[in-house]
Amino acid sequence: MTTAPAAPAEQGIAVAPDATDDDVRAIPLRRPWRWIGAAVVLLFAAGFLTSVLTNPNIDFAAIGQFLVDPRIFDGVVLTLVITLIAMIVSTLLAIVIAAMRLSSNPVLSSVAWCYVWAFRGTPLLVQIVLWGYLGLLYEQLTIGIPFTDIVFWQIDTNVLITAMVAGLLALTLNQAAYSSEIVRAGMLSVDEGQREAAFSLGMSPLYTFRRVLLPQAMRVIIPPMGNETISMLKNTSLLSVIAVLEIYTQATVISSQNLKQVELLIVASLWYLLMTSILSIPQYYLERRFGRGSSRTLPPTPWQRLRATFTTRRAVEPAPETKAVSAV
Amino acid sequence: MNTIATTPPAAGTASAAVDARALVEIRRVRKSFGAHQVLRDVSLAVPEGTVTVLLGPSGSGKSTLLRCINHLESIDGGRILVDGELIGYRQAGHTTHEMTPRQIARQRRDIGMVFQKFNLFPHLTALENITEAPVGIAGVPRAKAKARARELLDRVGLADFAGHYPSQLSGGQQQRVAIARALAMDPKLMLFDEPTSALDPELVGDVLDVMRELANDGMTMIVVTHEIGFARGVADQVVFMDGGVVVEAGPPGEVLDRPQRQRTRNFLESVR
Repeated sequence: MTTAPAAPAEQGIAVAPDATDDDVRAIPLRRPWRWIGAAVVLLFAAGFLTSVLTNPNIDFAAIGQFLVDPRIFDGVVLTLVITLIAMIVSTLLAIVIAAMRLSSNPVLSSVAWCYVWAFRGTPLLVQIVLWGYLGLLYEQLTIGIPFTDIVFWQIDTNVLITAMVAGLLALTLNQAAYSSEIVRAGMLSVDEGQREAAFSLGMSPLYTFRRVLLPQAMRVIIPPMGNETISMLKNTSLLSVIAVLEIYTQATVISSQNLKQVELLIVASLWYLLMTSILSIPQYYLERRFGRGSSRTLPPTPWQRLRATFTTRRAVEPAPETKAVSAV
Repeated sequence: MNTIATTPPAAGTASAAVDARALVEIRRVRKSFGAHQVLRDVSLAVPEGTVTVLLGPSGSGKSTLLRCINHLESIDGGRILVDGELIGYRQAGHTTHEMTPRQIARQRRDIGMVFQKFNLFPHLTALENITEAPVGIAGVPRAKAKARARELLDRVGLADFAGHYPSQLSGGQQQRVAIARALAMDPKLMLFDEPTSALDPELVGDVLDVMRELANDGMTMIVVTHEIGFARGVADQVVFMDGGVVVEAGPPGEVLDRPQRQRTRNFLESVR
């Protein structure tokens, strides 16, 4: 600023008025309604919380006790196992159904369409009960060639299809219908040029699907599949109608003995919340993995973000003093 | 005059500098999309080590012809031979039968293709884009494929961009990676489908330079483009197509500077 060696005092006077004229403080618009709105919401939230916490009808000691009850633990484990198996098998099935739906063979694509139509069009609860009653429909289950006497394997329905198996079947087949539409949308989202580029390099259709199309489709598939996994976890509670001992059934069994219905529902809900919260972590990392290349820089992981907030202070550095002086 | 000899060039012709045999032979190829005839009896020969530029208005069938050469489009009649091998079909008497996808994939390994929209694999880095096919399809050891990929990236002027994803590269850089990706399979023939049409004007030069170098190294190339300057400087043969037929073909000095047909003249005036 003091570059000119000649007559410093005079120049200082010449520059200063210009600089102060532009040096205006900008004050953002005040928003009083934000504060008022926040206060009202907080008031109601506090009121609700107090009414729950001071409610003499809730036995908090019982909640604490049953939260770690071994029967509840068994229910949690079974819920997770059912969710895991149903999601994995249904996803594999969904890929097959989506491929059928996208195939140029009209029979395959219509069968896939009918499958989705039937399993998506009827309530899950009805499907669960129906699978539970499979023994009434077929006394024996047979693997063989249709319309011939050739039988490879045969078993009594009620031996094979226990309540657990019926429940798994119902959840898996129903989920496959929904997931197949998600997979199909993912496949359709990949540009046709990708297939052509892969083909022009000499890749076979299967290799192209596995290494080029599916990884790109995954980016579109994973977020809704995360949703579906959380839905699945909660839908396992419907299996109580065929007496599968997952967490909700365990909770109702206990509460039918000690008549602490609300407490056990709270216990089950807390466990559901914990499980769904944990399930969203792998989804985050999967999205990151398959999002490679889609944006210029990858978003930080929650761990990186946490570290960043602790290592860098909130102090905002003042803008460096500008050397530019308006030229007159 | 308006078709190119389907046999190798005769000894006496002016362009006999290349006396190589035809690497690509296209004989009476016909192709329709529904009722619309895109290619009507197209015949063309591309001698080994030469550059052929296909010119023509949009809808003239030039891109379709290019895509027939590696069987991205199937043909309805005629035949296409690359290095003496019938593409996409096997012959049985007077008919040909389409090959299985696996057999066609095998043939495509020898034919590189570069697309207007680059079509790089967005989930792979530049290096991985180049190594994917050699490692996964041709069974080249990973280390060797990587070394080769780095060599190719260096050749297209992108040695420092091996770890970049396509979204982090400019259009011109993406197209040069796409060229390197095609070259990684050591093709006998390179097809370019309007390689500079999707690029900003200032990025076109880099891509054309790479193609020019490739031509100087003796690669057999068929290029669909609107870059008349490139055709004049690099092409051994310029083919003008319109309405699904070859209107005029010959050395660039003849077709571009002394076109015999009115349609060719009109087109050249419109792109100039």
